[in-house]
Amino acid sequence: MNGNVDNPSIDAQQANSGRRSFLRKAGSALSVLFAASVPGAASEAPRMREDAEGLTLRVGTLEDARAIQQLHRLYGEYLGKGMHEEIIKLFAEDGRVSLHGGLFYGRDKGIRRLYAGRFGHALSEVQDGPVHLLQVDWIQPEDAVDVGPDGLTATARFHCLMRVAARDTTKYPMMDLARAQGQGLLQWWEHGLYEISYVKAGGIWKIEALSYRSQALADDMSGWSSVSPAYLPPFTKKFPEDPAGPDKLIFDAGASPSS
Amino acid sequence: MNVPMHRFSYTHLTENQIGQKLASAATGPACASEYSNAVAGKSLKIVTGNGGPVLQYAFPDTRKLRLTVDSGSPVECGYGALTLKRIVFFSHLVPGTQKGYNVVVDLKTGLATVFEIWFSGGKDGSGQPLDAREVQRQIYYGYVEEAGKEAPKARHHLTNRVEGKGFYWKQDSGIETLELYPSIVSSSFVELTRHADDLGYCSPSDFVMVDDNTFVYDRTECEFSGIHTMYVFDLFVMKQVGVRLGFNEKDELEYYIFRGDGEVLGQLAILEPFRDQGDKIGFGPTMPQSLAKGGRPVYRPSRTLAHMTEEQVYEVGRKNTVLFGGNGSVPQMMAGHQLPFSDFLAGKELTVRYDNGVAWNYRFLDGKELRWRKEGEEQWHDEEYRAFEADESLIFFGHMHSGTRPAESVQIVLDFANALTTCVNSKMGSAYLANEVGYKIVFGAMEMEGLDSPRYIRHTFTDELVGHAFSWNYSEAMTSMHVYTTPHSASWSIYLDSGALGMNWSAPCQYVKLRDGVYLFNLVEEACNGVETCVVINTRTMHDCGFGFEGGEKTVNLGLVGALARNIGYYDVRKYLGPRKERAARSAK
Repeated sequence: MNGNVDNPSIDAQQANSGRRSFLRKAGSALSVLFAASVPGAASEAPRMREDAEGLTLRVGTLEDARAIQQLHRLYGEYLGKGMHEEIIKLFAEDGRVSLHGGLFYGRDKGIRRLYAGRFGHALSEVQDGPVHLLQVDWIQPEDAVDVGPDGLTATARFHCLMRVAARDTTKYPMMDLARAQGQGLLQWWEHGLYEISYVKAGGIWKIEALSYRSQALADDMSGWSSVSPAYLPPFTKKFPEDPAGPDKLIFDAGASPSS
Repeated sequence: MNVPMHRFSYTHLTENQIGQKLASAATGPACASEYSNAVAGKSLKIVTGNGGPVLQYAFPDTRKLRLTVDSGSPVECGYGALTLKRIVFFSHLVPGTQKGYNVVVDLKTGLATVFEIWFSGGKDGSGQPLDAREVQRQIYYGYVEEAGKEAPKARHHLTNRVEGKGFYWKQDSGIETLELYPSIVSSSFVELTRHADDLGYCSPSDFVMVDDNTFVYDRTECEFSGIHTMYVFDLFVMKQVGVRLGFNEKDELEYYIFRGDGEVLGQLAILEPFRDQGDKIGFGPTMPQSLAKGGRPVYRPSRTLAHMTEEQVYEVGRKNTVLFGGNGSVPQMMAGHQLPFSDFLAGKELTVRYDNGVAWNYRFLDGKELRWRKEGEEQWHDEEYRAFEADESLIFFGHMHSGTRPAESVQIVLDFANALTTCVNSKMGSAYLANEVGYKIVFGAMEMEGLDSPRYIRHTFTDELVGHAFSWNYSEAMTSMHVYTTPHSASWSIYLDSGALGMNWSAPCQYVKLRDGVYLFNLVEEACNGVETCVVINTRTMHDCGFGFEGGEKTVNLGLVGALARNIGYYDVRKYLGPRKERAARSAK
């Protein structure tokens, strides 16, 4: 599946982007027509033109923000369905990810290792594709998107609430016994914060840099009463020592907010 | 039989061979007791649900029946029936096929439970064909249809009402067994008369409730002979009627029905929520929603065990021996509740002298480094070690003997109060498998300035733990239950999410009494994965500590073990175990 051609959601972004261009042009043309046809309007024309251009810009910005929100919803949807190849396509070629104390560089290198390699194995037994009962249910309660004045860059913060299920692939005899009776599945609730920067290239928004921090975790069995500040152990080995590891280690990320 | 079942190489009988051997069963099952005539001269139409058949039976006499399945043609079969109060139980095979039926009918309620059983054609959870000799089963719940009478709404059903119970049974054939139901899907059994050794084994099982005091149980000896045992039992009168079907270690067909008398030996705690009566089994979320006919989760460790050569295991150990979790690089799933490391030995020098003539000198440089040498040897060997204080001044430490082939480790108890020592000397490789740990336990005394070494007193093998059941919580993600089934074996089970116990498995082990309430327990998961668990169990603190030793395709690993225990219950089994003559003498009294 080609993300730029066959993916209807990406097409929608392109359509939004194209519509923004149309609105910019249309706004300018309308303001000229308006100034020429209304008596006494000549003195007000510059202000009206400015208003129209401002309106156009604001509409364009709102369209961009909506496209970015849609892009992030796609990210969550793909993560939930285990469509890791589709996630990778959402990144810019030189994109980067910061996760649990590890930095992953490059869409087709570090980012591919993280999503197709690590997540592909941790969240499901298959590399790619939705898997029954192995999913990340995604609730996106709040967001803040800030599109740059040039309309080509943006930053966003997204909170998220996830129900995560991942296979425990530990090689140990008792785990084999547990797996044989349908267990060996780790399930938890997780509240996290995404801080993402975007770049528009060729009229399409792509993720330039993604940082994720877990904020709180709660075991699924014991429920919300067990919620605790999140601490997911940071990466300790880089690639290639860890075949699905980060390119660089940073030690403050992934730590408990209280630490 | 003096070859343990887990070491016996059962023949892979072909479907054709099985078909030939079943020809002799056309007349129905043998029986040491008198056959019942409860259904002779009668007809029964049993209607089952959930895709099960309608079975129309006509019984001309006590040994022959005519069966029509659904709308098929009638077929003549030999059968045998027994009664247990108002329950009629009968069993038959269908000539010309490899299948048959075991049927339980409650004459009062009209409810019936049908076990369809068959050889050849079973598949495991991944769709791979199973050994043709392994008896498969599918349970159907139904009723006896009576003209003009409405079908009853109730059905027999799965239950947890007998979970945790343990029994002694003696059949009319003279066969004696201990049968423990620590789980809702599996059971343990000890063959007291068929086998020379008192070893416990585990099999997938079903537990069906007929009424408050009457239940149906079955097991199939998967991974072993594949024999199927099924019986109805009544807890009021402690009697059973049932059937045994399958091929024994000599590939002889065993097909007989039996009566038996029993005794309840104990009851373990049931840990499910109170509203859970066990009519549905809550397997984990990755279990398929529906199982194929005959399907059930079965632990099949010998099918998945990798057989490595001595050379392969040695090379793995030479390149990658991991000690005590490798400073965090290897997850220690069994050590989430480990005792703190002890520096009790730091700075001490002593000799351990064992009764097999071996003596080692030790210098403990600090809490984690030691030097050792065989007595008389000049060269000292440096090793990393870990030690736990398992009881007051009772230290349990372990280390590798680096450079040995095969890789060797020692787990040593030092009892400073009594100047006694016990060593579990383990090495990669057993008489059966290079990647299975072999070990020997030796007793001896410590020699150290200030200690009086006893010449005769020793730690000793014991059966004091036998019959007890403890849960062991190793870490947040890992809890199991051990039942110390016999003086030479123990079983372990994994909890389902509901708190019910799921599948279990068993292995030979050794128990040593160190002090009152403090025991050394050593178990190797033989013919399973070869892993050794060597712990000191303190029943006063209900905490264990120790080591795990194993070798596989990636590492030889001397890891750590530490878990918190809870008392789950006790089976009074010891009176049935031990040397045969002693038991016979007790029985005679």
